[in-house]
Amino acid sequence: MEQFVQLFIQSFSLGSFYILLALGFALVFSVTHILNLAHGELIILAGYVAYVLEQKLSMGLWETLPIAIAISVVSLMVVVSFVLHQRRLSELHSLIITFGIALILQNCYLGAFSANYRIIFHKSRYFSLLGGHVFISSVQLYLITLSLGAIGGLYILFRKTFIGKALRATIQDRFAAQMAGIPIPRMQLLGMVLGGIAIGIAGPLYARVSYLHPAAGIEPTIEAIILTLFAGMGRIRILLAGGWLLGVAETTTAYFLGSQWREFVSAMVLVVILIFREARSRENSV
Amino acid sequence: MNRFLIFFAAFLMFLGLSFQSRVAAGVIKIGAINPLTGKLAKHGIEIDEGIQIAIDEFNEQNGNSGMVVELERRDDHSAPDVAMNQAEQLILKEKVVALIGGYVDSLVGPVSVVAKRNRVPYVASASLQSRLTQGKNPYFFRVSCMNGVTQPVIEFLLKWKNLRKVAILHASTPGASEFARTVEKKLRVSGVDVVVEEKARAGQPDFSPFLLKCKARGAEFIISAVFFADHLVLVRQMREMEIPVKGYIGPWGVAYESFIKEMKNMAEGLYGLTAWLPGFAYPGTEEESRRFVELYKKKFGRIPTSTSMHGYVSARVVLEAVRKAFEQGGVFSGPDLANFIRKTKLLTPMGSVEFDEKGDPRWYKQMVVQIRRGKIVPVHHEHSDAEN
Repeated sequence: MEQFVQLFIQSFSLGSFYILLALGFALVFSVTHILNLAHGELIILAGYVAYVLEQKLSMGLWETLPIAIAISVVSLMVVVSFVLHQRRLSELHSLIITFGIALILQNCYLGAFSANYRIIFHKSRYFSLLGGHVFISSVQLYLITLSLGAIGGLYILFRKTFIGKALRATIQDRFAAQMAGIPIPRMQLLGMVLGGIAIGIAGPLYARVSYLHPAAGIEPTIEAIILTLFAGMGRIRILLAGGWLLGVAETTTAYFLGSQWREFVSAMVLVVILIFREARSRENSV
Repeated sequence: MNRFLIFFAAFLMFLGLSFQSRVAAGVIKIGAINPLTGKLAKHGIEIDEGIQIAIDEFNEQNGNSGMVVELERRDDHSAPDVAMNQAEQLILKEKVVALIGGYVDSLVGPVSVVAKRNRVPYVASASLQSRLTQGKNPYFFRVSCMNGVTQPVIEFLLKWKNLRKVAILHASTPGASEFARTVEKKLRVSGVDVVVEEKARAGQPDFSPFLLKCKARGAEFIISAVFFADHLVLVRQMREMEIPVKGYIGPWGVAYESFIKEMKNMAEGLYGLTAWLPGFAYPGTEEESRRFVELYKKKFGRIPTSTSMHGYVSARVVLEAVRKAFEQGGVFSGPDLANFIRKTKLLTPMGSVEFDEKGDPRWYKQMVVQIRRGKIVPVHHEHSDAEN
């Protein structure tokens, strides 16, 4: 019994980790239609920023977060603005340009931080459950609460505020939104700021949960693409469900079938859902 | 038209003369292919740096004899197709006489195929998979082999009193998979039960299902044939989840100063394997080992690792063959160099280097080390009685 409760906690913290990785990508893609393949590299940048602050100034997670967020917002705005200012811009173009940016960033990290693998060493606090047989660590709690907080915050913004509703309208149909008088460039700017905040939160946590390496950005980018495909544009609650579903699918598969089946099962879940969604959208269009 | 022909002929003569002068001056090109970027860059760079030290040392010692070795370094981006292309380019365009370097079998294997096709010897720095030397490739040699890693792990584990249950996790690379199969088979024969045996993709962020299974099935020892980065995540989770195991051994990726630096006290007590340590050289090679460390520190500003030593040793094997070829008339044909390499007898800080008929090293054997108070301490090796 304790094993399964522990597995459940691990699943949800992993799912929350995926949600934080994907949130920035999903926001930027929804608002600007840019497939940002340098997304993972920006998370790694935020991670490196937190790593340096932690190493040089002995800062903790909460102290590094504002700086990591500020740097992430600026760097995301630079990347996205550069792509948006291209004359011929389609999703394919954005894919190629951001892939190039990702390669440049990887080489910059290699020069600045060497090829060494790095982690933010931290002493987790533990909270016991079920008479001490099950525990939840402070990092797991951060992951779950921050992902819930981010999703909850976005939900309130989208549903309860005027600017959020305007942003939602831009995500749903930017031409109709423009005709309704919504300033699209400002909405894109807002999307970048929100995406940058999400990346700035994800980076320092990434360095605590996984590891930093100049070429490590590909992993968070893939997770982000999978979850965004799963959720669709602007569907924040589905992103939450998708992240947790992926976390549960991967963890339970690894437990019952073995680690080698982890990716296969999560890929199958994604394929089945995409087929199901495609069939539903066809039915709706008929 | 005539003027153009004269100019063209002069140009060809210039090219010919410059090529001739290079040969006459004894400039011999050697190609090194390593993952200098991408996922495996850390170890690729270490090998590359070890090779550079060997080349510098050789040129310094043999410069007066008119023989100069030029190193052509290439990055395979941690991708097998790029490694193949780089090998083709080095052989066909740069006309290198031999190839060195390489980390993991998935990168070494394709280069060995290109080397065979072009009849150019290739001495791999870090390769384990047995299949690579079973294909009768007379141009392929390596300074490491599977036996040299599995044997010390098995010997070490069987010395543990009352060790009954172990868990094995391995990366999905050919070498790591073969390592896991071999160790599992030998442990089972010796009466040790392998309660969990799993393969994991490199770079996964969560090992908790594996660890929970280890706990549920009572694994006493974890053998983790994953890479450096995966050890960081796995060990951290193991410590955080307080998995009650007696020991944890990582055949590669644990016995590194940089691993201890990142993991701090979480690295305490872990076991790893290494072929060489800066302060622990093969008997009789202490002076060479010390010189290597000094040169390395001077050039790169840090202490070399065992992986750097693998690069250094593989380069020394090729350089020794080049020296012999130079002494015997300066014919650097592939078959001749391969023959010289086959007859190599070298004493290096990593041990004695000789090759068997398949191209595997005869005497390669790593030692088991443990991290104690932030230091890497040998606990099981051939040339000392120190145990546990």
